[in-house]
Amino acid sequence: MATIPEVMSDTPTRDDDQLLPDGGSNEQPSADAPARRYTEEQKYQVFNKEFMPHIDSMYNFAFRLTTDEDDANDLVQDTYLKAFRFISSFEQGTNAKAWLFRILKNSFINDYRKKSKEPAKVDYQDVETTYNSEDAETEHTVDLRAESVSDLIGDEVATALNSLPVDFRTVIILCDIEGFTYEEMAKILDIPIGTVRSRLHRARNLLKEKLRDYASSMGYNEENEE
Amino acid sequence: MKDHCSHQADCLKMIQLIVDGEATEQQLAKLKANLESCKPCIEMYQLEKEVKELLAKRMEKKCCPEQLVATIKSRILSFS
Ligand SMILES: [Zn+2]
Repeated sequence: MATIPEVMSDTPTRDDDQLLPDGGSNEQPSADAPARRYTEEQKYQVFNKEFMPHIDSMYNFAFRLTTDEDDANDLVQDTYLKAFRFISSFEQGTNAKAWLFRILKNSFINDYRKKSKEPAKVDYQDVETTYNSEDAETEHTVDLRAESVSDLIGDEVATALNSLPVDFRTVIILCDIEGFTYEEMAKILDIPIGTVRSRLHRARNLLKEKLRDYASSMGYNEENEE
Repeated sequence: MKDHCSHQADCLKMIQLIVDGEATEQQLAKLKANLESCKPCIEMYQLEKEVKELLAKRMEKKCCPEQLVATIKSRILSFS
Protein backbone atom coordinates (compact mmCIF):
# COMPACT_ATOMS: atom_id res chain seq x y z
CA MET A 1 0.00 0.00 0.00
CA ALA A 2 2.93 2.35 -0.39
CA THR A 3 2.96 5.43 -2.57
CA ILE A 4 4.06 4.21 -5.96
CA PRO A 5 3.26 7.12 -8.28
CA GLU A 6 4.68 5.48 -11.40
CA VAL A 7 2.24 2.62 -10.99
CA MET A 8 -0.56 5.10 -11.33
CA SER A 9 0.79 6.57 -14.52
CA ASP A 10 -0.46 5.48 -17.89
CA THR A 11 3.07 5.19 -19.14
CA PRO A 12 4.23 1.64 -19.40
CA THR A 13 7.40 0.92 -17.47
CA ARG A 14 9.08 -1.50 -19.77
CA ASP A 15 12.70 -0.54 -19.19
CA ASP A 16 13.82 -3.93 -17.95
CA ASP A 17 11.76 -5.78 -20.49
CA GLN A 18 14.80 -7.41 -21.98
CA LEU A 19 15.03 -9.60 -18.91
CA LEU A 20 12.04 -11.49 -20.13
CA PRO A 21 12.50 -13.66 -23.20
CA ASP A 22 10.04 -13.72 -25.99
CA GLY A 23 8.66 -17.07 -25.03
CA GLY A 24 6.36 -17.27 -28.01
CA SER A 25 6.73 -18.23 -31.61
CA ASN A 26 10.04 -16.42 -31.79
CA GLU A 27 12.48 -19.13 -30.77
CA GLN A 28 15.47 -16.84 -30.49
CA PRO A 29 16.22 -14.91 -27.32
CA SER A 30 15.83 -11.24 -28.18
CA ALA A 31 18.97 -9.71 -29.61
CA ASP A 32 19.42 -7.16 -26.85
CA ALA A 33 19.08 -9.71 -24.07
CA PRO A 34 22.31 -9.77 -22.13
CA ALA A 35 23.37 -13.39 -22.45
CA ARG A 36 24.55 -14.83 -19.17
CA ARG A 37 27.12 -17.54 -19.18
CA TYR A 38 25.98 -20.17 -16.80
CA THR A 39 28.00 -23.35 -16.51
CA GLU A 40 25.99 -26.52 -17.08
CA GLU A 41 25.93 -27.04 -13.33
CA GLN A 42 24.67 -23.50 -12.72
CA LYS A 43 21.90 -23.98 -15.26
CA TYR A 44 20.48 -26.90 -13.32
CA GLN A 45 20.92 -25.01 -10.10
CA VAL A 46 18.98 -21.98 -11.34
CA PHE A 47 16.34 -24.24 -12.84
CA ASN A 48 15.82 -26.18 -9.62
CA LYS A 49 16.08 -23.28 -7.19
CA GLU A 50 14.36 -20.50 -9.08
CA PHE A 51 11.99 -22.17 -11.56
CA MET A 52 10.75 -25.39 -9.98
CA PRO A 53 9.29 -23.77 -6.82
CA HIS A 54 6.69 -22.05 -9.04
CA ILE A 55 5.45 -25.21 -10.68
CA ASP A 56 2.17 -25.44 -8.76
CA SER A 57 1.29 -21.83 -9.58
CA MET A 58 2.24 -22.46 -13.19
CA TYR A 59 0.09 -25.55 -13.37
CA ASN A 60 -2.80 -23.71 -11.78
CA PHE A 61 -2.44 -20.87 -14.30
CA ALA A 62 -2.24 -23.34 -17.19
CA PHE A 63 -5.32 -25.14 -15.97
CA ARG A 64 -7.30 -21.91 -15.56
CA LEU A 65 -6.31 -20.86 -19.10
CA THR A 66 -6.95 -24.15 -20.87
CA THR A 67 -9.64 -25.51 -18.50
CA ASP A 68 -8.28 -28.96 -19.33
CA GLU A 69 -5.84 -31.11 -17.33
CA ASP A 70 -4.10 -32.70 -20.32
CA ASP A 71 -3.61 -29.34 -22.03
CA ALA A 72 -2.35 -27.88 -18.75
CA ASN A 73 0.16 -30.71 -18.51
CA ASP A 74 1.49 -30.11 -22.02
CA LEU A 75 1.56 -26.36 -21.58
CA VAL A 76 3.52 -26.51 -18.32
CA GLN A 77 5.96 -29.00 -19.76
CA ASP A 78 6.54 -26.93 -22.91
CA THR A 79 7.03 -23.83 -20.78
CA TYR A 80 9.63 -25.39 -18.50
CA LEU A 81 11.56 -26.87 -21.41
CA LYS A 82 11.55 -23.47 -23.11
CA ALA A 83 12.63 -21.82 -19.87
CA PHE A 84 15.59 -24.19 -19.66
CA ARG A 85 16.52 -23.62 -23.27
CA PHE A 86 16.52 -19.84 -22.80
CA ILE A 87 17.94 -19.86 -19.31
CA SER A 88 20.83 -17.61 -20.37
CA SER A 89 18.38 -14.73 -20.79
CA PHE A 90 17.19 -15.09 -17.21
CA GLU A 91 19.05 -13.02 -14.67
CA GLN A 92 19.37 -14.68 -11.27
CA GLY A 93 17.66 -12.79 -8.49
CA THR A 94 15.08 -11.17 -10.78
CA ASN A 95 11.42 -12.15 -10.78
CA ALA A 96 11.48 -15.78 -11.91
CA LYS A 97 7.75 -16.24 -11.42
CA ALA A 98 6.84 -13.34 -13.72
CA TRP A 99 9.44 -14.52 -16.25
CA LEU A 100 7.93 -18.02 -16.30
CA PHE A 101 4.34 -16.78 -16.43
CA ARG A 102 5.20 -14.68 -19.45
CA ILE A 103 6.61 -17.66 -21.32
CA LEU A 104 3.58 -19.74 -20.41
CA LYS A 105 1.13 -17.09 -21.50
CA ASN A 106 2.94 -16.64 -24.85
CA SER A 107 3.02 -20.39 -25.42
CA PHE A 108 -0.67 -20.54 -24.69
CA ILE A 109 -1.49 -17.81 -27.18
CA ASN A 110 0.75 -19.22 -29.90
CA ASP A 111 0.22 -22.94 -29.53
CA TYR A 112 -2.94 -23.68 -27.60
CA ARG A 113 -5.43 -20.94 -28.12
CA LYS A 114 -5.79 -21.76 -31.82
CA LYS A 115 -6.48 -25.42 -31.27
CA SER A 116 -8.80 -24.98 -28.31
CA LYS A 117 -12.47 -25.23 -29.07
CA GLU A 118 -13.21 -22.08 -27.16
CA PRO A 119 -15.39 -19.60 -29.05
CA ALA A 120 -13.54 -16.77 -27.30
CA LYS A 121 -12.58 -14.94 -30.50
CA VAL A 122 -16.10 -13.88 -31.31
CA ASP A 123 -17.12 -13.29 -27.71
CA TYR A 124 -14.02 -11.32 -27.03
CA GLN A 125 -14.46 -8.94 -29.92
CA ASP A 126 -18.06 -8.41 -28.97
CA VAL A 127 -17.15 -7.67 -25.45
CA GLU A 128 -14.20 -5.51 -26.40
CA THR A 129 -16.40 -3.38 -28.62
CA THR A 130 -19.07 -3.02 -26.00
CA TYR A 131 -16.69 -2.23 -23.19
CA ASN A 132 -14.21 -0.17 -25.12
CA SER A 133 -16.58 2.71 -25.55
CA GLU A 134 -15.90 5.30 -22.87
CA ASP A 135 -19.58 5.35 -21.95
CA ALA A 136 -19.62 1.69 -21.12
CA GLU A 137 -16.66 2.17 -18.88
CA THR A 138 -17.87 5.21 -17.01
CA GLU A 139 -21.52 4.26 -16.64
CA HIS A 140 -21.15 0.61 -15.91
CA THR A 141 -21.57 -0.55 -12.35
CA VAL A 142 -23.07 -3.92 -11.54
CA ASP A 143 -25.99 -4.02 -9.19
CA LEU A 144 -24.80 -6.65 -6.74
CA ARG A 145 -24.25 -6.76 -3.00
CA ALA A 146 -21.41 -8.35 -1.07
CA GLU A 147 -23.85 -10.43 0.99
CA SER A 148 -25.36 -12.06 -2.08
CA VAL A 149 -22.05 -13.45 -3.30
CA SER A 150 -20.59 -14.43 0.06
CA ASP A 151 -22.31 -17.84 -0.01
CA LEU A 152 -21.11 -18.85 -3.47
CA ILE A 153 -18.93 -21.94 -3.54
CA GLY A 154 -15.62 -22.37 -5.33
CA ASP A 155 -17.11 -24.27 -8.26
CA GLU A 156 -19.56 -21.49 -8.98
CA VAL A 157 -16.84 -18.88 -8.87
CA ALA A 158 -14.71 -21.06 -11.17
CA THR A 159 -17.56 -21.51 -13.65
CA ALA A 160 -18.22 -17.78 -13.68
CA LEU A 161 -14.53 -17.10 -14.24
CA ASN A 162 -14.25 -19.73 -16.98
CA SER A 163 -17.13 -18.16 -18.86
CA LEU A 164 -15.16 -14.95 -19.37
CA PRO A 165 -13.20 -14.40 -22.61
CA VAL A 166 -9.64 -15.55 -22.06
CA ASP A 167 -8.00 -12.09 -21.97
CA PHE A 168 -10.32 -11.00 -19.20
CA ARG A 169 -9.93 -14.28 -17.38
CA THR A 170 -6.16 -13.90 -17.55
CA VAL A 171 -5.96 -10.52 -15.79
CA ILE A 172 -8.18 -11.76 -12.98
CA ILE A 173 -6.10 -14.91 -12.49
CA LEU A 174 -2.87 -12.93 -12.45
CA CYS A 175 -4.14 -10.24 -10.10
CA ASP A 176 -6.57 -11.91 -7.75
CA ILE A 177 -5.38 -15.52 -7.69
CA GLU A 178 -1.63 -15.14 -8.18
CA GLY A 179 -1.25 -11.72 -6.58
CA PHE A 180 0.92 -10.09 -9.24
CA THR A 181 1.24 -6.29 -9.16
CA TYR A 182 -0.04 -4.22 -12.09
CA GLU A 183 3.57 -3.59 -13.10
CA GLU A 184 4.35 -7.32 -13.19
CA MET A 185 1.16 -7.98 -15.12
CA ALA A 186 2.12 -5.35 -17.68
CA LYS A 187 5.36 -7.21 -18.29
CA ILE A 188 3.79 -10.65 -18.37
CA LEU A 189 1.12 -9.53 -20.84
CA ASP A 190 3.18 -7.02 -22.86
CA ILE A 191 0.63 -4.26 -22.38
CA PRO A 192 0.86 -0.82 -20.73
CA ILE A 193 -0.15 -0.50 -17.08
CA GLY A 194 -3.11 1.67 -18.07
CA THR A 195 -4.41 -1.20 -20.17
CA VAL A 196 -3.91 -3.64 -17.29
CA ARG A 197 -6.02 -1.38 -15.11
CA SER A 198 -8.86 -0.89 -17.57
CA ARG A 199 -8.92 -4.53 -18.68
CA LEU A 200 -9.08 -5.61 -15.05
CA HIS A 201 -11.90 -3.15 -14.43
CA ARG A 202 -13.92 -4.55 -17.35
CA ALA A 203 -13.10 -8.13 -16.43
CA ARG A 204 -14.43 -7.56 -12.95
CA ASN A 205 -17.62 -5.97 -14.20
CA LEU A 206 -18.20 -9.00 -16.41
CA LEU A 207 -17.39 -11.40 -13.61
CA LYS A 208 -19.78 -9.61 -11.26
CA GLU A 209 -22.53 -9.92 -13.88
CA LYS A 210 -21.93 -13.67 -14.01
CA LEU A 211 -21.86 -13.89 -10.22
CA ARG A 212 -25.05 -11.89 -10.03
CA ASP A 213 -26.72 -14.42 -12.33
CA TYR A 214 -25.65 -17.17 -9.93
CA ALA A 215 -26.67 -15.27 -6.85
CA SER A 216 -30.08 -14.43 -8.27
CA SER A 217 -30.73 -17.94 -9.59
CA MET A 218 -30.06 -19.25 -6.09
CA GLY A 219 -32.52 -16.74 -4.67
CA TYR A 220 -35.06 -17.71 -7.29
CA ASN A 221 -34.77 -21.40 -6.38
CA GLU A 222 -35.28 -20.67 -2.72
CA GLU A 223 -38.46 -18.78 -3.47
CA ASN A 224 -39.65 -21.63 -5.64
CA GLU A 225 -39.18 -24.19 -2.92
CA GLU A 226 -41.64 -22.49 -0.66
CA MET B 1 -24.52 9.65 5.00
CA LYS B 2 -25.02 10.06 1.24
CA ASP B 3 -27.38 7.58 -0.41
CA HIS B 4 -26.30 8.59 -3.86
CA CYS B 5 -22.75 8.79 -5.15
CA SER B 6 -22.23 11.26 -7.95
CA HIS B 7 -18.89 9.79 -9.05
CA GLN B 8 -19.76 6.15 -8.73
CA ALA B 9 -17.81 4.86 -11.74
CA ASP B 10 -14.68 6.80 -10.79
CA CYS B 11 -15.05 5.77 -7.17
CA LEU B 12 -15.23 2.15 -8.27
CA LYS B 13 -11.98 2.45 -10.20
CA MET B 14 -10.29 3.98 -7.19
CA ILE B 15 -11.71 1.30 -4.91
CA GLN B 16 -10.22 -1.40 -7.13
CA LEU B 17 -6.78 0.21 -6.96
CA ILE B 18 -7.05 0.22 -3.20
CA VAL B 19 -8.23 -3.36 -2.94
CA ASP B 20 -5.33 -4.35 -5.22
CA GLY B 21 -2.81 -2.47 -3.10
CA GLU B 22 -1.99 -0.15 -5.99
CA ALA B 23 -3.38 3.12 -4.68
CA THR B 24 -1.51 6.28 -3.75
CA GLU B 25 -1.68 7.80 -0.24
CA GLN B 26 -3.95 10.46 -1.71
CA GLN B 27 -6.41 7.90 -3.05
CA LEU B 28 -6.34 6.05 0.26
CA ALA B 29 -7.21 9.24 2.12
CA LYS B 30 -10.04 9.94 -0.29
CA LEU B 31 -11.49 6.47 0.15
CA LYS B 32 -11.30 6.80 3.92
CA ALA B 33 -13.38 9.96 3.70
CA ASN B 34 -15.89 8.30 1.35
CA LEU B 35 -16.22 5.29 3.61
CA GLU B 36 -17.43 7.57 6.35
CA SER B 37 -19.92 9.48 4.29
CA CYS B 38 -21.04 7.64 1.15
CA LYS B 39 -23.25 4.56 1.26
CA PRO B 40 -22.75 3.44 -2.38
CA CYS B 41 -18.97 3.67 -1.89
CA ILE B 42 -19.13 1.52 1.25
CA GLU B 43 -21.16 -1.10 -0.60
CA MET B 44 -18.86 -1.09 -3.64
CA TYR B 45 -15.84 -1.46 -1.39
CA GLN B 46 -17.37 -4.42 0.42
CA LEU B 47 -18.33 -6.11 -2.85
CA GLU B 48 -14.91 -5.68 -4.46
CA LYS B 49 -13.22 -7.07 -1.36
CA GLU B 50 -15.64 -9.99 -1.17
CA VAL B 51 -15.18 -10.94 -4.84
CA LYS B 52 -11.41 -10.73 -4.56
CA GLU B 53 -11.51 -12.98 -1.50
CA LEU B 54 -13.77 -15.47 -3.25
CA LEU B 55 -11.23 -15.76 -6.04
CA ALA B 56 -8.23 -15.98 -3.74
CA LYS B 57 -9.59 -18.35 -1.14
CA ARG B 58 -12.55 -20.29 -2.36
CA MET B 59 -11.38 -21.59 -5.70
CA GLU B 60 -9.63 -24.93 -5.78
CA LYS B 61 -5.86 -24.65 -6.11
CA LYS B 62 -4.61 -27.19 -8.61
CA CYS B 63 -1.31 -28.85 -7.75
CA CYS B 64 1.09 -29.95 -10.43
CA PRO B 65 0.95 -33.77 -10.81
CA GLU B 66 4.10 -35.50 -9.48
CA GLN B 67 4.43 -37.34 -12.76
CA LEU B 68 4.78 -34.06 -14.65
CA VAL B 69 7.48 -32.82 -12.26
CA ALA B 70 9.40 -36.06 -12.82
CA THR B 71 9.01 -35.84 -16.60
CA ILE B 72 10.26 -32.25 -16.72
CA LYS B 73 13.28 -33.07 -14.55
CA SER B 74 14.28 -36.03 -16.67
CA ARG B 75 13.70 -34.14 -19.95
CA ILE B 76 16.03 -31.31 -19.00
CA LEU B 77 18.73 -33.74 -17.89
CA SER B 78 18.83 -35.15 -21.41
CA PHE B 79 19.16 -31.67 -22.92
CA SER B 80 22.81 -30.62 -23.08
ZN1 LIG C 1 -19.13 7.70 -3.27
